[in-house]
Amino acid sequence: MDLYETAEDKAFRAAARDWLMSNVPKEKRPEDIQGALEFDCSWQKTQYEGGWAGVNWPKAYGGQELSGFHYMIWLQELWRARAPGQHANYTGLNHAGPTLIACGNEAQKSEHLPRILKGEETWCQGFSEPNAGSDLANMHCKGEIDGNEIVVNGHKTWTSNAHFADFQELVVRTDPASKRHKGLTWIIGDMRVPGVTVRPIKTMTGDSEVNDTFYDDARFPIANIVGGIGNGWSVAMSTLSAERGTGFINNQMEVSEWIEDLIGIARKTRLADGRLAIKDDRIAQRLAFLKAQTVSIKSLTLSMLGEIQRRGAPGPEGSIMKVLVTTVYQEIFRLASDILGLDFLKYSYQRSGNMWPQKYMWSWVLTIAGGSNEIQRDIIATRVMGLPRGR
Amino acid sequence: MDLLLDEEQSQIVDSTASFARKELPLERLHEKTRASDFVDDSVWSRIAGMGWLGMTLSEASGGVGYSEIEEMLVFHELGRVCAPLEIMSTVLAAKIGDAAGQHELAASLAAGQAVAALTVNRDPTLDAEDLSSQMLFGGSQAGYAVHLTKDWARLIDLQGTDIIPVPNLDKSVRLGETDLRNKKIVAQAPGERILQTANLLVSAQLQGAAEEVMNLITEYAKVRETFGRPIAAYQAVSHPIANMKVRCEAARAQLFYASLVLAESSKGGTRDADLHVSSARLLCEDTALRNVEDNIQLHGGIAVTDEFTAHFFLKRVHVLKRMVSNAFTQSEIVLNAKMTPF
Repeated sequence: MDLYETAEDKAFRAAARDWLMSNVPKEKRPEDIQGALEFDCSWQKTQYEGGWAGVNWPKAYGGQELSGFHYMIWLQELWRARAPGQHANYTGLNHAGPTLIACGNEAQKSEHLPRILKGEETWCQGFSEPNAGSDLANMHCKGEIDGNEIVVNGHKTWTSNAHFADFQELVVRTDPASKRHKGLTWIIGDMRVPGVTVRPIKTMTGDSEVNDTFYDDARFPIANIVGGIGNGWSVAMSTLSAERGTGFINNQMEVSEWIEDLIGIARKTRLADGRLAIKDDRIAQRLAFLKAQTVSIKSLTLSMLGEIQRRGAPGPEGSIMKVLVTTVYQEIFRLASDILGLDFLKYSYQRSGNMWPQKYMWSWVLTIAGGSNEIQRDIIATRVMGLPRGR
Repeated sequence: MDLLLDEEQSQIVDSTASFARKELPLERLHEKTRASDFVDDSVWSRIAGMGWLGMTLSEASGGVGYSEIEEMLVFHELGRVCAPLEIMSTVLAAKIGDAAGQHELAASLAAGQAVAALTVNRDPTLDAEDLSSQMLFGGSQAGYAVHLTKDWARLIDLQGTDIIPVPNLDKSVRLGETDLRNKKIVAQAPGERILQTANLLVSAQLQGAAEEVMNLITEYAKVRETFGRPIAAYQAVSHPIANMKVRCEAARAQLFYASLVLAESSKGGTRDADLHVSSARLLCEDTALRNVEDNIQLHGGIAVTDEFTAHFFLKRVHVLKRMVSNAFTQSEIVLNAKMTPF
């Protein structure tokens, strides 16, 4: 146990800070979809050209082959420099990339990984279906092998970014007689092929970043199958554990900052009875407890990165982080409602508007998506704590 | 930079755990077997023999060069058996002696030759420096009282002091009312660091209790059956257990991190020790309280019996909650603390 960064870690941090100082884009991320996409990809390309993309990805595919700790340091420095987020590149960098690194063949890795790092291709997920959310193994979207192609018919849903993504992590049932976890296949789904239709779903925030995706005889080359026919479940699980491993470092920094902002607001906002919000004991205690939780998320990240490093792979413990981070996130905005009073209601249905109600609504995306927190608790109970399964 | 135990730290954890299981088993707390509310002299001298009472003392007081990290690990294990509170108060007493330059006194406390109790102000309307109305935690064998304020850590001689016994919810901790005005202060040291350490050690014991009850219910849920299945098969049981785990992991990581920050601050670093220790205290206290309660609920009827161990943890947590500092003070520290960004 120690708190010290090695001389090498420190040099890495200093170099990152230095580079970011002169390379973070000065202009704001555009509001419109196309403008935002181009902005995100251009920033990703800048990072690649500067030698900062893929910190913990293999060198052979354009990465730097450093540790998860280095990746954490890089994310911290990005945050500190107020650099733009990953946005359009999130799924490629945090899901598709790590999945291909773990399960892809040589051709798939050399084709896609460098392009993800260069901001030349974006990805979306394709796991959930109308009847396969928490019960993910209930997927029915059909894939039939036809010569050198796989023909897909069916319906995926909650597909974030499908309206612009180039590729999809598409999981289909290739064995019609199979049930549950067997008979599934993970494919690199080109979103531009004929037969793929994307229909936006408007959410309660007013935004439409999620979609329904329909497949009508959409054809993909069988060379796009990752991890072999019928192995889709284990490939998909490696995608999810990658996300639960290091995918929350950004959320950790967000919540630390927001709780400080909220404490600041509580110091100058008066409640309906005229007192400053911070003088209300209940509010003060909830703020303090939330701040302590955000502090602990940082400590737990450090603890988990050490474990991942030691074992060589993220384990089911990532589910603990998911439940913790998402519930803290939600509670921050619930508390914001109590502090802000009438101002909480001022929401113009624009993304750049009042963040407190916007993120309050968004918080359910976090507690539900990527395996709902109920599913995470099942994983913690059975796989972390060794309790028997209920089903 | 990591929170993994090194080999020596793992050994400390293992040797503490095996000593605790052998010498301080929970069964010792049962009324029918309990001889007194204090460990006997021979056990106390073996406790001293483990080196726990003076781990962080300076060389001049016979210290062995451990830091708050190892000390935290010991108390984390001791929390699992509701260990005698006098271990913590004697550790704090030795630290005060050491910091005050009273090396002989510190060494004799560390060697188990004297026992200290912790005292807290009974009357919150009185000034922190007014010692007229005190509640002593720990008991009749104690020769000294440890009194902690934000500014000062004091060791007070209890010789010739009248202590009126008070019944305690936790029968394994002796409580007594007393007046400590005009008593001899045998050592006095600046308060901040000892107060932080005291909060760290209270947190460690709370966390040990929180984890132990989680382990108890986890094992029970695998074997206890209702409606023909183990109770763990029901999400009404398994999800609260998963929540115990989430709370425990966050609190444990923060406890470990806080011990690192505190140990570093002794070497001159000032890296947010207040923020990290108080965050640990808030989280460990909440985790412990909720886990000991859930442990009873999920065990069902057996857990409300005197014969079962669940109530020892419940009662001990309510004692530890009142030690050294309270949630209001800790909340204030956390709210006002600045956090150094990486």
